[in-house]
Amino acid sequence: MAERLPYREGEWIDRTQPVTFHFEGVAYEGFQGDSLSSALWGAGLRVLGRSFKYHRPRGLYSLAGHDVNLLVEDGERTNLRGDFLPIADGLDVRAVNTAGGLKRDRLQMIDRFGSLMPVGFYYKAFHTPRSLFPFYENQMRKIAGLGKINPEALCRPSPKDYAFCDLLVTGAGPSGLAAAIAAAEAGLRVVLAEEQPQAGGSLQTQHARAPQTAEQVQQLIRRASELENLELRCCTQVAGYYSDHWAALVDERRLTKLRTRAAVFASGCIEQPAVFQNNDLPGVMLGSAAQRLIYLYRVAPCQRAVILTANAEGYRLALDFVEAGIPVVALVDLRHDGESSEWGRLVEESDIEIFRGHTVHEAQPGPSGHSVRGVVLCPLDGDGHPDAIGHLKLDCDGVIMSVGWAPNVDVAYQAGVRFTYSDQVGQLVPKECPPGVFLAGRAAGIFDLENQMDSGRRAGLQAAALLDSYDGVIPPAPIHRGPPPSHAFPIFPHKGKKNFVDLDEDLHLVDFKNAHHEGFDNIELIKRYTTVGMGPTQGKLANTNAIRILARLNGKTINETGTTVSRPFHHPVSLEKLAGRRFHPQRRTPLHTLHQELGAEMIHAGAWLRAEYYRDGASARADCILHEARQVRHSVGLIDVSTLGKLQISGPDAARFLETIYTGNFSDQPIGRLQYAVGCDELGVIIEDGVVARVGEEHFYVTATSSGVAAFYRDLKRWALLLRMRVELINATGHLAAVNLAGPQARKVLTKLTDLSLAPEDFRYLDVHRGCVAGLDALVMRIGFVGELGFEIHVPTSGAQHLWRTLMEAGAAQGIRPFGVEAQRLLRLEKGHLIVGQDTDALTHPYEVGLDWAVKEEKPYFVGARSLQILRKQPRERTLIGLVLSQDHGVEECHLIVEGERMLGRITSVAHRTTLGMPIALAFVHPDRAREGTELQICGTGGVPISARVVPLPFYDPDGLRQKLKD
Amino acid sequence: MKIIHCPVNGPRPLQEFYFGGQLRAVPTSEQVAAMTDAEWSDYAFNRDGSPGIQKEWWYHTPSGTWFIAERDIVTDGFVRTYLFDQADQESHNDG
Amino acid sequence: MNRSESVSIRQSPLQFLAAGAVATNRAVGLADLSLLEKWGVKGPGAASWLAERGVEIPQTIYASRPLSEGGLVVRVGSDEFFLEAGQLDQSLASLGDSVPAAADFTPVIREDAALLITGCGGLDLFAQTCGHPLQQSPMDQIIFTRVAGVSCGILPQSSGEEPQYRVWFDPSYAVYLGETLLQIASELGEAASEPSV
Repeated sequence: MAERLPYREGEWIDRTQPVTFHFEGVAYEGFQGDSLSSALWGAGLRVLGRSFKYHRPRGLYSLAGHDVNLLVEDGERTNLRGDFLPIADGLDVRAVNTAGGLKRDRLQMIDRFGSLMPVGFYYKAFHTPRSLFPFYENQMRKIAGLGKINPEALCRPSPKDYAFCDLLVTGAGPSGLAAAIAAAEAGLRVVLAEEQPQAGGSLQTQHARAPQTAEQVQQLIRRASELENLELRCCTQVAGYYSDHWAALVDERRLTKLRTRAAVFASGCIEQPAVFQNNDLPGVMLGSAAQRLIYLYRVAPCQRAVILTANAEGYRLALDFVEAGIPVVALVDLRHDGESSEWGRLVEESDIEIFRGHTVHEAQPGPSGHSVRGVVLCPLDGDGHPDAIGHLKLDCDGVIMSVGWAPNVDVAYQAGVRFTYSDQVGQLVPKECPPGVFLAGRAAGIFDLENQMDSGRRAGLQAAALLDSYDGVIPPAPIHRGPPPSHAFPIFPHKGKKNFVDLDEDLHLVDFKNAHHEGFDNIELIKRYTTVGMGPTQGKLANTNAIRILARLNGKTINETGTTVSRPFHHPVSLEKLAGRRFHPQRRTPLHTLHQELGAEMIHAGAWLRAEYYRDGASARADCILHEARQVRHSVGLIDVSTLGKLQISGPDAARFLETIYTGNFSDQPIGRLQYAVGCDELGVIIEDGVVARVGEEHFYVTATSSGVAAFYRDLKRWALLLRMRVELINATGHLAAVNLAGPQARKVLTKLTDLSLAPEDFRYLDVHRGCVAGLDALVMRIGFVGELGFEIHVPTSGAQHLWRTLMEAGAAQGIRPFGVEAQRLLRLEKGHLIVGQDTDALTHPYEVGLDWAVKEEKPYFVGARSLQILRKQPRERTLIGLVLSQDHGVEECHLIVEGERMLGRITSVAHRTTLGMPIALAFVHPDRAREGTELQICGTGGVPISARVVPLPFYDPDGLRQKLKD
Repeated sequence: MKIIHCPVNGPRPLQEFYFGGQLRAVPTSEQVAAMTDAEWSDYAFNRDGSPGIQKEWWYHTPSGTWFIAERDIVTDGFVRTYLFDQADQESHNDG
Repeated sequence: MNRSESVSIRQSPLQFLAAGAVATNRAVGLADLSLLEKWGVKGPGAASWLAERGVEIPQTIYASRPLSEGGLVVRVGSDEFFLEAGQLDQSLASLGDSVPAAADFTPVIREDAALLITGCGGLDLFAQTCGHPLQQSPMDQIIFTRVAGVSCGILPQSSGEEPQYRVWFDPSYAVYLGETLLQIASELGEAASEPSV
């Protein structure tokens, strides 16, 4: 392993804790505190990855997650970025996007065919011959991905949570710390989010060499930790900003949904690259990356450096190299006038050779193309164009760029901040901030350390003042003085066409010229055509230069060129964190455990778990269901219908209210009687059906569909307001349990358990009585959904298990069996009873399904009346009919009824095996074909035609004698 | 996530609410009887989506509270919220 | 049928909480109070009728007050009240059985699942399941919001150093919500038991 630079106070590595890990199958050593990037670079490795398109070797570039040259996977997780991945014993990762490993990547030869793959080439190639497209597609999918998903990987729930604060400060550099401390001292609850493992920001890198900086950092961090109302979260990114000051904070463990009342963005700047030939070779890197290596990880960026700069920071950088003992072969300044600051003077006094008004025109690759061996410098003419004639070569193995910055403000943009380009600063600066959002430091275009901290303090106090926690003086806004720290156009053409603008997407300068030439001359178009900024870093190192290039191509200013919209997330967020604990509320009836004891197969019915059928020995599912149904027809069965919607509607206007909501009459309904009711919406479409029981002069008990009751109840509450009626509406669905005891023996079973008289003359079909059943206060209704003598018993949920057990015990002599949802659906189908939402759809009105009788047209007003008036007059397009099928398999719900090419209708419900001994179905069909005896063709499974015959409904017991059973 | 100020429950996140559509008066039976089929269809199917401040029904699901919100549908900014009973008289009589 | 018989044939929807699950740890305690008798009343005449019966009703919506014989009454709507007994053998039947037939209010059957959450980790439990800033909520005021996706009423009550929280919700969600909260509470308890690094 290569030697580290000597120990330095404040370094992030812990030399007492060495760590062994594997990369590409090879073991390496690093230290606790190293990231994967710093550890590999520190071990002397230079090729860290292969680029997306050309598979060019790539090395360390930003060391801040602004590039993805080092992108790895570990077999379980993918999209791991080396700059952010801490090493630990046992870490075993591989680079993505290689065929056969990093060193011997078989796809590296693509680089030689670059000229065959100009920008957008895939739009123009691979069309013909069409037969080969599947082949091309498969090959492209193999090459074009960045990593493999492991479908077996365990996905654990993560502890996603909510948090609240007064102020969110993004970035714990000098301005962020200043802002957070000022705001906390003024009494605000502050959350300070820092994406790096430690606070300090540029104080630990750009300013590290200044003797007083270490002390300054410690002081700020200490002050921040003293303040109880200031919470510092490291390794935490602010991934996105949403409505009403909602921010997504993501760390290694979880996502926090933070509601804040104000925000300060002190997120600093992203250093930008220069564009010259081979500016992507391992050894070419950003100045801030070199500083991070030197100060945080104590790794020498290279052995002999050439520094390319256009600002004071580059000169300061040169002095960093000097102090670290790394020779600087040359400092190349794009500016003819050079640097007039203190740092300029110090560099002049050193023995570093300075080239003013020059650029690096080309980085020259080493023998294997895996490193830099030297540079070609060119002087720049008055217009900033390189003059190849005056070129000279220098040997070096590192090219360090410090030519400019772009503010790190994508999340600030999401918070509503709008920017304008300032020539004075050479970058975007804030133009408009929405209320409660502030920018500080270099993100706001304030360079110079003292000014940065002042602007941070100012932003913190502004936030405190806005939230009425501070009424003192707000210090004035610092202004940038001096030359712009960013060069306006550090971009140089080269006939070699390997001068990259976007490293993610392997886009070089000519790609932009070509796209522009083809007419994609607008920022939104050129983005999508070239794909600049659409890669894993979302253009952090590319967008600024792309905009500069487009502006120049169009002869416009940066402001006129515009930018594209920034969207979450700032750095990638795993789906695991987004899913959190995955709350999927599930509802159970109070009889759930009893069903399980009885061997029920449970199914999801909406949010509910219901018993589908009860397993009976080794019998097949279809046999169990039929058995249950037969038992109901011949003796007695018991079903849990607790999921039924149950509403209590009472008050002086209760009857009138019901008459407005439903299509029927209720004013004259006697107490103790119930009726089937149909509800429509204003368009006359059936939305609900159920039973309305009158239990008192002003008290009604209403049942509704399990899946529709919540929405129905909500709508009823609104109707009550709109109609100004005096009604109380109560949704008792979860508070009451219900069971249905059905079959010819039902009376015999129930009569033992209740004080009510069940004699036919005392308890008629459609009667409702309140009484005691199994010692519980119960409401009992006699209805016939399944077509047999039946009693539906409603009790408070806490008594449900007792009721069920008592009924099962009492019915043992009659061979009582529980029956499930499937048996019930079969039984009701035999009776031709429709299920809203299954036999009706979003357009079905009562006249299509034989419910004309339920619509009391003479009523003055009810919901849907006017529409029903119109629908009544219109010719029918379809009608619901019963079918007997010619075979007992091959027909499913939604299968079409066809006649040649013409669609006549569709199947809505079907049962292959029934207690009637024949397969049946309900279907919509055109009225012309609805006559009894008509033969119809169904397009069955696999397109097989199956014939069926129209029969009258109901299939079973047409006179309804069974449910009115009098014995 | 957006915050809505329920007149009864105070400020709550959007996920606690259900949007109930445009606030419109229910036509009286006389008005309904006087409408042609075409006029009724227009009432039943069409809504006004023109930019500006809309009066809307919103429902706070955990507490079962219906209320009216005035919202600028261009900026998605809530102007004010109030219970239906406290709405201005004029909105009752819109035909 | 007397009270003790009725209790034995009633079952709590959160029954599983008692069976073997560690419901209390150093961070959070979860207790099932579902078997306490509950009762509701709703309508314009509800407030005066309760007052006539000697119940000191809360004057403002969402406020709660203790009942003189134990238990509490919460005003859960402008015209709606929810009452809960304080002990298992306390009955509210005297109220329920005496509602006149022609009253301008109606009894409401209440079979809510009822939880008590105690401990220093109570707010941490809510931080992972509820989007409402309960730490800022006043005592004895019920809040209707969502916990892990389920609509609940949460009542913070002062009790010693940390507040405790009563939570009521539809009993059909009891197993889902109870298990979810128990899982998170266990994790918080483990974290609380670990020595801090």
